[in-house]
Amino acid sequence: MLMEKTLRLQHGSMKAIVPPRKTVEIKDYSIENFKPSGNNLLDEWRIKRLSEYATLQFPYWKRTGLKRLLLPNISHYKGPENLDELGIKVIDSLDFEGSDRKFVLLADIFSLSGRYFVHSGVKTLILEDFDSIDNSLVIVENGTLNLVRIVKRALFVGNLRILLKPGAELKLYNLYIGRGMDESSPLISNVFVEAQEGSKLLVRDFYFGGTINAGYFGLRINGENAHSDIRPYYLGVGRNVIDILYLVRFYAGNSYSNVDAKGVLMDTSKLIFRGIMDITSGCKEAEAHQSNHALLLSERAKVEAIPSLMVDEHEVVASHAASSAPVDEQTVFYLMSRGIPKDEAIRMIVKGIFETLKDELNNLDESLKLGGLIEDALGSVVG
Amino acid sequence: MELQKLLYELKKREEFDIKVNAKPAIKLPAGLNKKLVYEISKAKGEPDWMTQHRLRSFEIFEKWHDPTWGVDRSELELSKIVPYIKPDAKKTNTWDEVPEEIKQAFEKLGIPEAERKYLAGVGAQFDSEMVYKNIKEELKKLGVIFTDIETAVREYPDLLREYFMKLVPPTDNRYAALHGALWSGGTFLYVPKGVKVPLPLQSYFLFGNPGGGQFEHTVIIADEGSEVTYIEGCTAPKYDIVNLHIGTVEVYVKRGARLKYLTMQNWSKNMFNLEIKRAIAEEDAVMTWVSGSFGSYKTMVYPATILKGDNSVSENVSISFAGPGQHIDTGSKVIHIGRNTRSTVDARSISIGGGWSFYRGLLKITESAKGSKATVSCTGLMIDNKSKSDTVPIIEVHNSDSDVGHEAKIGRIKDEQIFYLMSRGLSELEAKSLIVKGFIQPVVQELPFEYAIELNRLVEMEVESSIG
Repeated sequence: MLMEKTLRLQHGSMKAIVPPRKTVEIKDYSIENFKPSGNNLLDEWRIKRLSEYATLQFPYWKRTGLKRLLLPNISHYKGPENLDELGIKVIDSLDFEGSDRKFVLLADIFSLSGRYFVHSGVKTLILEDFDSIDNSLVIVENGTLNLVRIVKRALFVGNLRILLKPGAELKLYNLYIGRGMDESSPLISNVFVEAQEGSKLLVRDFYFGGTINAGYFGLRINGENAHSDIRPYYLGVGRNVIDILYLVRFYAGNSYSNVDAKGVLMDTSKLIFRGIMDITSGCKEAEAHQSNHALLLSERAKVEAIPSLMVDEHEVVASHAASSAPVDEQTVFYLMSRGIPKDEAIRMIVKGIFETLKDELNNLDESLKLGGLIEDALGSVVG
Repeated sequence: MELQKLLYELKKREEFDIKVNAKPAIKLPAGLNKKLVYEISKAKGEPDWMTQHRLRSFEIFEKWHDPTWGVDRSELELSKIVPYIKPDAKKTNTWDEVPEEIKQAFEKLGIPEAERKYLAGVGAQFDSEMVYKNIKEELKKLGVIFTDIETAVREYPDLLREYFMKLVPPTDNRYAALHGALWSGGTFLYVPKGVKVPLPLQSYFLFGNPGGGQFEHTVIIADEGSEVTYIEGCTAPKYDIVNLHIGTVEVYVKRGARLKYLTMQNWSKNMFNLEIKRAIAEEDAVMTWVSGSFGSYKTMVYPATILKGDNSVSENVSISFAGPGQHIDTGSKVIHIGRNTRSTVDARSISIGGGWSFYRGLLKITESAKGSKATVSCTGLMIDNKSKSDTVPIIEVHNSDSDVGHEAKIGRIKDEQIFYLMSRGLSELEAKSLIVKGFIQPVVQELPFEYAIELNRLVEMEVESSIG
């Protein structure tokens, strides 16, 4: 499989012009920062990527305002150093462009944390021990994996690749709690999943905090009858810029995918939502839906949405919808007519948006009370 | 599909071409340079301000880089385009004075007949110049000005200078700059305050020379409280080398005015069609764009409205048809600035026989546009799995007091629909053609009756030639 590009602007011999990548000069790592992992297979793979990394400058993200970055010191290597031959083959096949190729390669080469494991059976796994650069690979061989990632960091550049084998099921919860105080410490996560025949994927992402909180989620559907239900949630406060990209590319028919993003924006926060549902030729009876609904609670909050559909096959169902609006006055009026003060009514509406996410997290393991993380985030914002 | 191959495949459609064997009076050589720009100005006997405008635009063009998005334009060699071809015909307001070959071409297109029956005025451009322009006497008496830009330069210089390339300045992009240097022909329409033009006015653009470029410019001013409908039609015979069309349209809709701009584009399949269309609407004004893109090899056109005044409204209805070898990149742009502004976009596309339709749009609600409402709807119909349909809308909302909705869907003609129609005696082809005609109904109903019939006929022809 070739590297999964974010945009596929070609149709037979026809092509469209791909806008050039804008770059910015940032002090970068050099070959001296390359630390051996102790795993020859892995290091060979990293060195190959290093030659590509060296040709790329850091991107300038105009909409996000990313133009500075303070990279951490690299004193050692830590990541998926237990990668075996199968692991190398899989990590190589799950190559992708991500929100920007530079960040994907950076985490591949210079990671300071990460893991590799092959899952089978039924398990709930909670991961919190992330360093500022992380690179991980998970193969879900069979059974069900409930994977919760809690990334609470100032600076974070991380990759997660997942291979979802035939019939396997994954519930993936990514809770991105940014701690960056300025735009030089962004939280940048790149997650790429390949779903094979009959697999089932549920994704819940939560973006909150930090100055720049950027998430890429790419799904390659490579087998028939794969089912995916992806729901990004966002809560923007202060000067938060939440920049998220969801790509679902179908290479097999009879599969279903739904990306349903929603959230609340307050103060001067800004959401950039990019959604790409891409159905390649021959994927008969594929069904792709995508939506983004933003609730704006401040006059100075902003939404920029680019929900794209790209379809090369006619026997499909493909749709997207997007909206942004203030709080519905009728809903507020209804609650107020029941004796609830206006502020409390708005609070209830906001909390209602995240209620399902909170319940789902609590239901994973009642003793862990993971929904508390969402409650804490909401509590710090709306009381 | 490469252009040569495409043209070979389209040979069977030659009967639909309008061939004209009219020798031009002036045909400048291909190429782009300052001297040539100066020669165009000289040939038109322009005043110094316009000559300077052209030369300044050319300087900007030389400094600008090509837009870094849109259709692949590597086959378009600007240095091989013949920028100015003056027909051997004087401008007239009677069809009898139009040279026979050119008149016959417009007769085939039904223009003189349409004028007699249901138009308030007609302009006809052949290659780089208008050859015919006429408007009903009673409208003239009301102060309506309907003429070509060259005449406006001479007869209404102050009025024209106030608006010419102010909304689309040469600095806008490289093609706007090129247009500013090479423009020729086009329409100047001024509707005075409170005048409601009862019938549409139309300009028709016909191309008659291989390798030529058409750069007509249109300026429309609908003054306060006025109403007018303007129709623009374009066609050309097919040649085996690339032709280029960079038309520019600037529309000013003043306070309380209503303007409807209809375009039916059926350029031949060797045409690069790179148009710029922009309107600005003042308080309580209503701007409507109705567009049908059927022809051309590659198209880039995104009619834009700037809703500057409070309570102004923009409507944008479009249908684009991408057949074999065609890459049709169309869309819309709406910028809300005034309070309580409203906009709707209904963009439909049909992809067939390997064609690629691409919707690209921008909807921007600025901070000042409080209480605005906007909806964007994109629908793509794919007739087969050789074709491609993409929609990429950009929606920017910069205030919380506005309601914005967007929806899009791409799908096929369902087997049940075809089966139902076939069970009523229609052939499969007739059934598909009928369904496609139903799909484009929102555009058809915006057209005057006679044009709606023509559009249906055109769609039928395109569907049949693509899948028949």
